[in-house]
Amino acid sequence: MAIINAQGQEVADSWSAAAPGAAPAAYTIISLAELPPPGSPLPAPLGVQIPPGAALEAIASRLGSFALIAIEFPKFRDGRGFTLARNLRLKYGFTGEIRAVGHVIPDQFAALLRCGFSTLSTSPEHPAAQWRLASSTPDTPAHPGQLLSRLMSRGLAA
Amino acid sequence: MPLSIISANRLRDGATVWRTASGEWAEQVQAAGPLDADALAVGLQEAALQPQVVVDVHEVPVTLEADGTPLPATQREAIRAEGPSVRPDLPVSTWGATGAALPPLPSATSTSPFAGIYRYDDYDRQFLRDRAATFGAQAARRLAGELSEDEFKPLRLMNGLYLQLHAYMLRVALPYGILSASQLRQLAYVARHYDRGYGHFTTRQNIQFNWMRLEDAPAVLALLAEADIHAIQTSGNCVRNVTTDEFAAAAADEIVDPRVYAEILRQWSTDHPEFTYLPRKFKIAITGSPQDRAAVRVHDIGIMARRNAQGEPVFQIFAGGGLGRIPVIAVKLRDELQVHDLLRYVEAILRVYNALGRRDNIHKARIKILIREMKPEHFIKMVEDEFAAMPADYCLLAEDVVAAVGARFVPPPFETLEAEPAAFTEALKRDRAFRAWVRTNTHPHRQPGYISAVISLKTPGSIPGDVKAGEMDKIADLADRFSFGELRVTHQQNMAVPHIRKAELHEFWSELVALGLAAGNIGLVTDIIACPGMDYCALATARSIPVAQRIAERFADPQRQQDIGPLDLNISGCINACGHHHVGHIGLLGVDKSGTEVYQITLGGASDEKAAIGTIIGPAVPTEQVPETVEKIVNAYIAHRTEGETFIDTYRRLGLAPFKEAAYGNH
Repeated sequence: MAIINAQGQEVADSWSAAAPGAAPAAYTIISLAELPPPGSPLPAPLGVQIPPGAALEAIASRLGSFALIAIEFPKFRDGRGFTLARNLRLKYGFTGEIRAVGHVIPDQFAALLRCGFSTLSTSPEHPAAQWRLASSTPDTPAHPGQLLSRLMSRGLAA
Repeated sequence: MPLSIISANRLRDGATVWRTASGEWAEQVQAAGPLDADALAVGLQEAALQPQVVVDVHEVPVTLEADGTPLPATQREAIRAEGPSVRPDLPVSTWGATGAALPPLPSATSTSPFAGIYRYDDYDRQFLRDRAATFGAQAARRLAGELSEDEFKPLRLMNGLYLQLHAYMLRVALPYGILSASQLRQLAYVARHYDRGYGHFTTRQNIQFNWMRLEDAPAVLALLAEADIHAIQTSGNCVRNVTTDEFAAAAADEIVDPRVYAEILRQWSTDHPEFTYLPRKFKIAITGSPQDRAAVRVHDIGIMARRNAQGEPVFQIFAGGGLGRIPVIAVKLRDELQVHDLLRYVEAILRVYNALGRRDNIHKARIKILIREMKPEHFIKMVEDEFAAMPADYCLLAEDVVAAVGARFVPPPFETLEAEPAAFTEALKRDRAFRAWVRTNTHPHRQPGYISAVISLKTPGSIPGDVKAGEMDKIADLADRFSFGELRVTHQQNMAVPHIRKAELHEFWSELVALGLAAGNIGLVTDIIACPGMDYCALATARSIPVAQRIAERFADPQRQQDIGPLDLNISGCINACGHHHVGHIGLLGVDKSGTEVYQITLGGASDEKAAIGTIIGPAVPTEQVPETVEKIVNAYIAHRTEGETFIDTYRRLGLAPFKEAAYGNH
């Protein structure tokens, strides 16, 4: 799986998925289900992968332990991940990497970035070239968008 | 031995096609090769390998005529094979752009500078051009195989492009139902040069073109952008076209101008990064006056302006209303929301819905089900918590923002006129037909000497909401002449001309008479709301248009309609309820009962501030008996009404029994 950054470029991945049942190690992404109970020592940096239906309140107090949060997209049509990312940034002030994993398509690139995603993991059906193309048409000074987004300081292009 | 043929729609234009014995795709069903079970399985496999040629490949059971011609066994497939039963003048054939040079766009020469539409600037317009270009690239990637149909479908839906029975259908937004004469001419241009000469106005203030080729759609979106019109988010699981009262900014009883807030909501929801892949579609309606002319209680979010105790305008917020297979009247979330919190609060509602709405069952995915399953008080608490947790400046609708958007609506250059000019009062006295039309088809205007009028698109016998390209051009001319170039589309599928000088109303009406568009039936029994039904729609189970036509013909006598008085009759061709049958005083729902169309009748529905879902009165009635049964119900009302009592009030006073007795008593 290629990792695409916010500029639409393929980048090397310093993270790997934790083996099921293994103790958490640095630079691994463990599933939410395997997260040790609160108070357990955790390696750093650590990533956690959360399903689209995750309740963020349950891990809110531990967000500081994670350098990366991977949000699952079971289907690209399932938009719960967008709300999760936005809540992580807006409500909980998470400043680490947020990564989209699963089924996302290049047509969603701008929306993913605007909701706070930093990277995504793409599938062979959508090779890096397609994301590069998608990243070449963001809002530029020549195309600042509709009136409301120009008028409002916060909330639309957050 | 049961025989089948294989059908599909051609990817590039949406045309209905049939697979021949040699594996080609033909437009005429007669060319299809009948297959036994084994050959069918092979044929379906082969067809599945052509995703860049055809979509929606499926088998169609057939019988054979004496000469061996295959006849589709179901009515739906017969309509696909023959074209809409209500338009025998449109035979199966190719259509659309011919490649010949087209005349210049109407938008190049006609501007309607005084119409009360939102005035785009170059950036706004560039946004639409960019969107059209993006869609053009997406369509090209689909045709090239870079996007699967599964991935492309939500993208085309977000640009208003559906695949229906005979072709793609393009649904174009008419934001909050307002358009200029110039824009209507642009729509006529699309109908004439890219479609088959007409369009269809829907109950959500959109216009649908029924014969849009995928390969033409990007060009059409680009030319609509030149007239500041788009099809963005008219379909798909996103926030749809925001609707409002058709008399916005003209009605005498208005507290706020709903156009401004509808426009703010439109821009806010367009391409919203978080809310473009919701569990299901999401509809918002706003009304600027305490009298609900936008059916806000049957929307996912309903917004209603009122004044608080201090006399300031505030919004009442409703959520979870809707029709469809489970009709629900909305729950009130807030009695009083500050105007500057509107987007924040709407965003809080959508955030809770996007996170928690069901995605496992399409029929349970609307917000109304979430609210019901969570219990309203729990849902309201979650929304309030979400709202309270937002940073103080997030999405705040400051006064200067509202003012800047509001400034884009040019006030019409009204003249100071006499409130009741003699020309008007004399015409009323003199001309009985005019008087009758004025009584039903006009609405008071807040500006002295002006009046709003509704052009009925329900002349008995016609297809409700359909307008031909030539009629669009003529209506546009009337709007330029009589109404500052401004028009409205009503959620009852009619058009309104908002600002007519009373002194000129008779002249205006005379022009309508000449055009055959002067039916004085607004709000009466023949002003029927009807969805396109199985003549066009891929979801429909019954043909609603012919039923509407038969009922309207039965009650065609103007005097009789006037005598019956206000009566909303709504027809849906399937459980999805696009014809709003649940909120018709009389509602008709067409269903398929072992291959035969029958109609379920409901009574007592309403969509105004006394919103109610109608009650089913008894067993479904065969299609051919529907007009007669409706007549019996209406006659029962006439027999039981007190002086001046409307149908719905008689129903509310007496309940179901006398109407049920009338409808079924003799059987």
